[in-house]
Amino acid sequence: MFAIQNLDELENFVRNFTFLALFFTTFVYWIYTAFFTSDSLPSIAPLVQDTSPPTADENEKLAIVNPLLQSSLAQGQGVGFAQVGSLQGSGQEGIKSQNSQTNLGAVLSPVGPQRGSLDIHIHPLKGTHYAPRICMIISNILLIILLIVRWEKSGHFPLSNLYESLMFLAWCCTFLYLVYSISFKLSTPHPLKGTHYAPKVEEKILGSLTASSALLMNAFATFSLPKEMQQATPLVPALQSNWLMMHVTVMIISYATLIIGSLLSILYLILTLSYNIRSDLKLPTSVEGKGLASSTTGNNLRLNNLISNPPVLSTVGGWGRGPLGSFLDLLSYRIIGLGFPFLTIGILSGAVWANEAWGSYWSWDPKETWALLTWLVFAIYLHTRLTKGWQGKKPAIIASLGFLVVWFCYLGVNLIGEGLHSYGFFS
Amino acid sequence: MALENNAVKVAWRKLLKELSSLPRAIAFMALIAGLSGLGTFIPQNKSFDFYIENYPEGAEQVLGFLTYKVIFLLQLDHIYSADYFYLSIGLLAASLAACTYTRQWPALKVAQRWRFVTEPRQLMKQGRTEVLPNASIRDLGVLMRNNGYEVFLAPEGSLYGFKGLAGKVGPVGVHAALLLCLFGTAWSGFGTLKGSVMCPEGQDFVVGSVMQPSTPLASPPASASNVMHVNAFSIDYRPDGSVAQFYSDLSLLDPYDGNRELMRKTISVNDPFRYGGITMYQTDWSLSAVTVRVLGNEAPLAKAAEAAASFSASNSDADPGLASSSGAPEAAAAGTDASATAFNLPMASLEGKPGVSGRLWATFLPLGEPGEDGSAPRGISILARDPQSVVFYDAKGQFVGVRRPGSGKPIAVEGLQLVVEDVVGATGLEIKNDPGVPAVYAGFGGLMVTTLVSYLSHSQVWALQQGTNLFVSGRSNRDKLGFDRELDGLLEAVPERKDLLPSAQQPQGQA
Repeated sequence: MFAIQNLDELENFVRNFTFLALFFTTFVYWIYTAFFTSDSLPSIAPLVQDTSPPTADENEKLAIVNPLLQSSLAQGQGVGFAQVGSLQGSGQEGIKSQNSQTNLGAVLSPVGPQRGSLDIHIHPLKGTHYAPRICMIISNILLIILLIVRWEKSGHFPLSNLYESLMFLAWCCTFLYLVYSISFKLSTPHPLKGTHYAPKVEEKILGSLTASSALLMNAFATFSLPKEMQQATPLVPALQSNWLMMHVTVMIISYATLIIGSLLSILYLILTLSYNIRSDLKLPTSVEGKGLASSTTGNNLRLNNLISNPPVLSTVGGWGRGPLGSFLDLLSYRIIGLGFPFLTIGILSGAVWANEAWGSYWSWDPKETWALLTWLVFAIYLHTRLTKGWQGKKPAIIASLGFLVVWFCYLGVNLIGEGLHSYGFFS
Repeated sequence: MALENNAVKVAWRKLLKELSSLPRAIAFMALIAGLSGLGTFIPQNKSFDFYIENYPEGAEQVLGFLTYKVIFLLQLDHIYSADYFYLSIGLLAASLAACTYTRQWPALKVAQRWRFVTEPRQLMKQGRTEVLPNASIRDLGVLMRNNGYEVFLAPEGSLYGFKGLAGKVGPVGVHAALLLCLFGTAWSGFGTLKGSVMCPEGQDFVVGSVMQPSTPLASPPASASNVMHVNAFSIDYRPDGSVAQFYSDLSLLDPYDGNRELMRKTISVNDPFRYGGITMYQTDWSLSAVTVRVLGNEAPLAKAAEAAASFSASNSDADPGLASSSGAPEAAAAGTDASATAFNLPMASLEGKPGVSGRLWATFLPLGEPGEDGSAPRGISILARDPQSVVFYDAKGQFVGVRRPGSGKPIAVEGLQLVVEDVVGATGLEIKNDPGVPAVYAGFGGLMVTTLVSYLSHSQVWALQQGTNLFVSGRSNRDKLGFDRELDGLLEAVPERKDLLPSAQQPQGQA
């Protein structure tokens, strides 16, 4: 095996390659998210349901609607709400879900001057939709290889200093993305039957976010940390325990999930602030602006659905209630909701380890204290969602605060200098 | 409960309501968070002088107002054991208990019941509502059941289904586990006995004598009367000189049974000694003494022995910095045997003394008489940082050489040939008896499991058949996105029934 003799060279090679892979992945995701969105629309605007084959009525209606919508798409114009509203009262409901994609395409285009990415209707080559995700998978695998090489070199689990934990953190971010992207794919019905898979804009947003985070972590570890701190050193006696694997692993996983979740909240806040200031459109009064709720009166149900479920850049109830806003809000809730149990397990396994090692399961060490603080902040976040009216912006502010707290807990406490966690960090 | 006029009951109910208020609970959590964070910026549990020195009054006030007086007044030097901190934790615990009692438990019981709706208006309150024309409620029921829902169908054409009840039970479990943790911690706080001891190799100590109770409520464990004997202490080093592991070979003896050995174990860090309710952890070490053998030349030797004897006689309360030779009587007894004489010289720690960085132990072998003015006699200084090597300095303080204990290689210092035989170490043990640990561990385990379970989503779906129209509504407490998609999928799969079903023809009255 060529690697046995040259583990150092292999490690260097893998390290550089990992950085390049992450850089490329980030680049690809950003480009892809920014420009290639015309055929990937937020899927959580509820698809209008009609389970029957189109009736003659419906076909007629479709015949009216579709060309209208398709032509407006081609011209890059939006269909105003007034136009959609004119379909109302024509009798039966029924825009088949299969065509709802194009339908929504019209609804989702903003009224008035075009803005943002929906301008550009570039249709990428079939199959290139997979490219970003393949890049992410490659980065993920490279990080695994890097950690394995370090494991081989040092003989102990590769999580004993800041460099290794940052690499593992980057891996967790990419892995988190892959898990969520697969769960999106599994639960989303194929938007247009018979066409190739097209990742949704939310998946692209998440991909851009995680790829950039992983890149920054990797870059910081590779280029900013002094070479001495990157070396794998033998473990001090206190770290020679099987608990090392469990406690540190789970903590880093929890940091990754909480960081990504709170980044989504920060993104939500930034977009809310931008769009609520700029948008000044009003909708017809027949609309119910209650987010995902809809009216239920009889035959006009589905159309009312359409109208009352606002498009991406909606002003109904603010941008935050629109599909993209709700998506960011709910996804960050879900991801933080996953990170919280991991954080709990990490803190508690650390406490049990401390009790086995030096007889005290809680000694108010700065690292322990800040981990508890992180736990409390995110517990508050999860609980504020139970309070009526606290959806969207207010929990997002708490999650954003949580972002700072997580970073201080991970890196900041080591700057304070004392405590049981000062192994090989800044001092 | 019906209205009660009993003032106590009214007050109790009001108290519960106040405590279980969520915003208040959030405020408690934020308060504890804030105080905890503060404790990481102000060093805790340091000496009085430390705060006076680092947080002075006058022009150099930290942050313009944080002086040592403020710190002591607000108990900021021991935030984590301050009464207001305990009070905050107590309030949080009370809030947890009140919330579980007044909100979670009743909600849980309600969630298990089947709740049917009788008109579409009620559906809209539940959440997102859809209507499917020409659909049958039974089809929906079957689909839901195949998707993992527990489905209940009322003959009036109303349906209720739920999935993931664990997601509703989880939070109750979280609160219960937290309360158990806090209870265990409180028990620990009251009932712990602990202490630390630095015991040289070959010596022993009574277990109970080195432990102090945290409060008078702490009762000594069964093993308190036993004697712990340190058989050996060693440090494993790596080739690069760093420490691999510390090992202490310990024996627990029963003094009431002729010093019968109860248990013997070699402990290391992360591998403590457990017996009879006490646990001993390897936490520290030091050097206790160095054994030095003098070869040949007996004249200086005899003089040294005499000088040492008179020195120790005149200075019976010897300065700890100057280790007197306890080997002097030995030397005198060994007397004229010129070939070899061993001194066992106790070492003292110089850590923290000016000019000393890190850990350092030293001892002194006097070679002459103390000066007329009482100044220290001429002698050899012997220093060591760890059991691996011993450093010699001559009477003028000049470096002479380094020797490894046990190598047998002599070193010439001040006309004497010295061989370092051994460095006697001492093991630093932390002894603890903590009765709250089982409760705390149980709470931890419960918390780990229940927080994971709380991640699961509890989804509910209601449906109402009116004529040929099927109204469907649903909501989920966690995974709203996934639930939306799932509901979409379910509704899409409901077939359209062009024929009118008998059940659909039954009169669906307004309830």
